[in-house]
Amino acid sequence: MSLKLSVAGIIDDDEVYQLVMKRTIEQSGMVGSVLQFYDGEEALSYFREKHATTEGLPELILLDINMPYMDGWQFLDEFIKIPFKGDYRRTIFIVTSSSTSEDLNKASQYSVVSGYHVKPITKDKFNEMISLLA
Amino acid sequence: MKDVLDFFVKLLDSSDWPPRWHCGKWTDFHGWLYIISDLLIWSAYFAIPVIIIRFISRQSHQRFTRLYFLFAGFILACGATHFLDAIMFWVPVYRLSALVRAITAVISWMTVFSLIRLLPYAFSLKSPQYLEEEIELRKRTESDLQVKNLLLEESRQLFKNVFDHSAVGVALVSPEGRWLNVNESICDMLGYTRDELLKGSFQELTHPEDLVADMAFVTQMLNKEREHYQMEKRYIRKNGTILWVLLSVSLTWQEEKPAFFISQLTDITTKKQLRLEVERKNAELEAHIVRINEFNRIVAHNLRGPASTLINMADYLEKNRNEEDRDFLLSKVKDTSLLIIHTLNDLKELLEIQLRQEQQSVPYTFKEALHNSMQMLDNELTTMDAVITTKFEVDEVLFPKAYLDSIFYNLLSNALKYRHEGKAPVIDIATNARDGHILLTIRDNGIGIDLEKHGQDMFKYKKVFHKGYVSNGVGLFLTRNQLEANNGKIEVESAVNEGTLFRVYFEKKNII
Repeated sequence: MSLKLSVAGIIDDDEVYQLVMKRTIEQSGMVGSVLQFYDGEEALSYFREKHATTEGLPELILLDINMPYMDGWQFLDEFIKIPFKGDYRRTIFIVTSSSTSEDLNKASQYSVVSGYHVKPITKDKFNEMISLLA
Repeated sequence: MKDVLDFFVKLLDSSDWPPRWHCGKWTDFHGWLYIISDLLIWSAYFAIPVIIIRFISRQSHQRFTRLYFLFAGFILACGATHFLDAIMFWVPVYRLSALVRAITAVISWMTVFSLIRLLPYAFSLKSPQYLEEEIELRKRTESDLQVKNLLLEESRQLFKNVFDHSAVGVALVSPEGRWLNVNESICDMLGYTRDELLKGSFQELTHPEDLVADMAFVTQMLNKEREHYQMEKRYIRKNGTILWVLLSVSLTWQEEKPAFFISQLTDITTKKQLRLEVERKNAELEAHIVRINEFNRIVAHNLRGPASTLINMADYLEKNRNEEDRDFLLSKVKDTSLLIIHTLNDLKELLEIQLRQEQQSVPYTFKEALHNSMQMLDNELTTMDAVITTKFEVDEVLFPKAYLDSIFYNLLSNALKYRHEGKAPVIDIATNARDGHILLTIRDNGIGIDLEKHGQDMFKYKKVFHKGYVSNGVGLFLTRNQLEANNGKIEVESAVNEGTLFRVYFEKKNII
């Protein structure tokens, strides 16, 4: 089975979700490696650090909304300002426990966001998400 | 002279002449024609003055009376000469006849002179036709005038009725604002007697906040920039309560000078109160919606979050045998479940605060609330060498005791927790009365908060802003809700490394 993606990134403060998601991704066999960030700030500094080369940056980002220090929205506001090297292709999915219309509407205002998925994310659901990728 | 004397002595003597029948040749026909004609002339001449005098006597305001009498005398005299001419056929009293003729002559000329004197005036008299037209015209004018008077009287009566009995307050006000006249309704509305009102001005009774707007209109009217105005404004009644009116004002000018304002006041207090009540209810509803949304957010993130984590966990444990992962996940089951319980507890507390259950507002001193929190934080305060200064300009507030304790505890423990390393915490606490509120300020010299980043999340549920600190992000959230449920609010001012200032506003009417 060929790898669909080389790197995926999970941005979420929930340790259990992080572990389960990491394992799910690994077991799908479609992704080379998984990066884990426990809040928006941590993720942001990683992206900023690597923006010039884009080497090792995730092609799939699973982003939580509700996080301490910097939440998903604040992360997105800063993320879209980063001047990435031209050929950096990535897909951002919001992955959250919230299914409120307030959050759904807000997500739809970010053109950089490609999808909105409500937790829990099971193995089947993840495979579905992956299949959406080109 | 002798002749004249002789004339009067023999006035009635007829012996010097024969009767006329015997003087000359009279046929019977000729003589009687003469006699009868003379008698007819005499009787007619006698009748005319009688008629004239009767005519005069029936008119109360007759002009030319003198002339009429002269005419009467003149005709009577003429008649007398003809009568004497007739009796001359038998009794030849020629002297008497001459005297009567002389008198007639005098009266005739007097009449002539009298006529001449009246001539210019007689010429100036209008012709009867002209007079009739003029009378007609005057009659018409008079009836027009009557109608106009009637209308005038009617409109005067109408104005008086409106003024006296209208449910609308009507007042005449001088250009300077003095009450010139007021009707009963205004007195009823404002609670003053008419005499009391007429001593003062409308400015004295206008609510201070509405005076500027009202005076601006008055000035525009006096500058002829507008002809009338309408505004909703407040007056202060004699008993100190507020009267809301819809005021309509017009200005009357006399000879290019402002004479008086006509002001009409409609009492809209009830309507206004209802509207304010509706607005208050709307604001309350909006606040409810905001709270429900917040509740919904907490459920979506902080309850559904850990719940879905548990599902994820169960799902994974079912299918995977990795010992290390299993141990880790099982160790997290309790934490995650506790998270749900804690969030449920927080939500229960939030609802209790918002439904204002259990906690009654009581008079409570800031000093006592501070003392209680300082006792709970005694250990930290001592080990950190904290300095707390207080300046309570307002001592007491009507607020739930437990909430004020909790507010002091949360703000104080935050100030201690986020202190500068190696710098003794200094916390300044003050209260004062401001703009209808009691303001409590708590200022520290700690590490501060990046408000640009976190400003909008400052008082939200489970938001934390400093890494490396043990914090659950609930304290400020509950503080905000405790205040809002009691018509208060909290604000923050801060800069990184510059310390933090919290402003807590309490409703002032709570003061006893």
